[in-house]
Amino acid sequence: MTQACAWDRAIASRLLAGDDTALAAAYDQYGSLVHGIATHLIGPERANDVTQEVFISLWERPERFDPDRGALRTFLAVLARRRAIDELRSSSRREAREHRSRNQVPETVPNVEEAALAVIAAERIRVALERLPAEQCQAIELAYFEGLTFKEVARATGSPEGTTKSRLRLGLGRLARDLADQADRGEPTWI
Amino acid sequence: MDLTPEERDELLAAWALDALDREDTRRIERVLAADPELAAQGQELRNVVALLGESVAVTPPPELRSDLLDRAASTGPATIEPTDPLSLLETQIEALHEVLVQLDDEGWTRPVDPYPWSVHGLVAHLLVIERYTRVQLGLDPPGRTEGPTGHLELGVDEIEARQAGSPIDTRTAWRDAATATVAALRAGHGPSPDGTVDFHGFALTVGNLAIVRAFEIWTHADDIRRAVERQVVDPAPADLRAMSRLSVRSLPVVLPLVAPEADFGGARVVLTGAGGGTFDLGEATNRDVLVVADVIDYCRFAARRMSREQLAPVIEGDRETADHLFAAARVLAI
Repeated sequence: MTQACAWDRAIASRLLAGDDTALAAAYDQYGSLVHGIATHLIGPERANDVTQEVFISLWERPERFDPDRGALRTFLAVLARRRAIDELRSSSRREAREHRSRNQVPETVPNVEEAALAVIAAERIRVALERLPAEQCQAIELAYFEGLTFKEVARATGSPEGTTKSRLRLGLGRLARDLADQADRGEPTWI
Repeated sequence: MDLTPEERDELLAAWALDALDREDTRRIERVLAADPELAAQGQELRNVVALLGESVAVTPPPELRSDLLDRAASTGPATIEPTDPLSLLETQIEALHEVLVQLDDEGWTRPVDPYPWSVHGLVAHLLVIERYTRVQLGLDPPGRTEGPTGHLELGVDEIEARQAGSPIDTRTAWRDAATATVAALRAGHGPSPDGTVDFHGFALTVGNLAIVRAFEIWTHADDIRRAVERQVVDPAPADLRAMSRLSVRSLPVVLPLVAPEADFGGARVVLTGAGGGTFDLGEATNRDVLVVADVIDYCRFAARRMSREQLAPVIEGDRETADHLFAAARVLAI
């Protein structure tokens, strides 16, 4: 599923028209995703700034999201991660990690339905990751959750760069198939 | 440097994970730009990567939402500036003239829905309205438009007579009168910019009158295109912005005409597409309804050239208020 759904398209056209209730709707739908990605990489305090930047960017330049090229979830997730990594790289990595460990439990608001969905999603993805061969899982985790380039992953794991790229490709491919299989079995998924 | 299929696939996975340095990112993005199939595969992988983020989703603190919306209220996407009213009118006059000069003899005799006139008769009607407009603007002395003053009743005898004559003469007379009106207003003749003009009982500024005239001329140009089986034409976004903005902003003013008993609080109208925009009507804190529609479709609906079903608006909130707004949108369609 590459293209955006009807809801994404409606939100995109309303944002282009300057409707801030569409921004609120997008935030309500994907705020946790964006904030979670940023929190994981740089800690909750700076994640607030990144979350706000991501949605302000969507608001001020809505034309950058093209529903013909992909889903809003993907667009925001990529943007959140990129902004968080920029933030991470602009400061000392050590400082960011310390900051993150000090604030491991972010202040959250109970939202039962959203929390339940997030728990289900997180569990499915965790299971899918665990099914990967260890070296593929490690490469993906270092690249995605630690914000490393594949060359940095190679150095961190002591593996050749070519091997690391292959692990990312094979791991991501397996992950995609596993999540698609869950969908085929009728299990609710996000894909 | 060309990439082998294997290099391409490996770079694609790392690209989807945002795990490439700048140079490799540029390499793969050059390939993606030239290969839509590969770009779609890359997007599929990015969808999977986005799901990884769900595993770490965290509800943001509540104040973040209000801070974000406060910040958004003071900024926003760039909207298209509306065409100035006289340029808009000039553009629509020339667009209609362009349609008319291409008509053959048979085309001039085609009936025009929803009027009892041929194409020739409709252009004669426009000439009559142009003369009426000039009188209302004070550009011509009164007395040339005696008799009924309803928009469709004006000058019916002249319309009848002109339909028996030369369509080229009618076309020339209409265009000369219309362009003379624009030229006179540009030269500062007529009412002051702050003054209002009575146009069929509505008090309009000169600028708004020019927009109303442009809206009518665009609508009739499409009527004639349909009559001679040509494609209708969407106005340029800046022109649409000018016409739709006036139409939507006039809704609270004309609402009492269609729903005198209604207690209107507020509404947001979102017109999507190039030339659209977001309009808050009434009290922003007392919003009864949100209406979303395509801007071109809205304009055609307001001109009574599209049904409510065809418009297919999204309505969130009080449907009765939405019904009143839609009825009001058509009041100025003449």
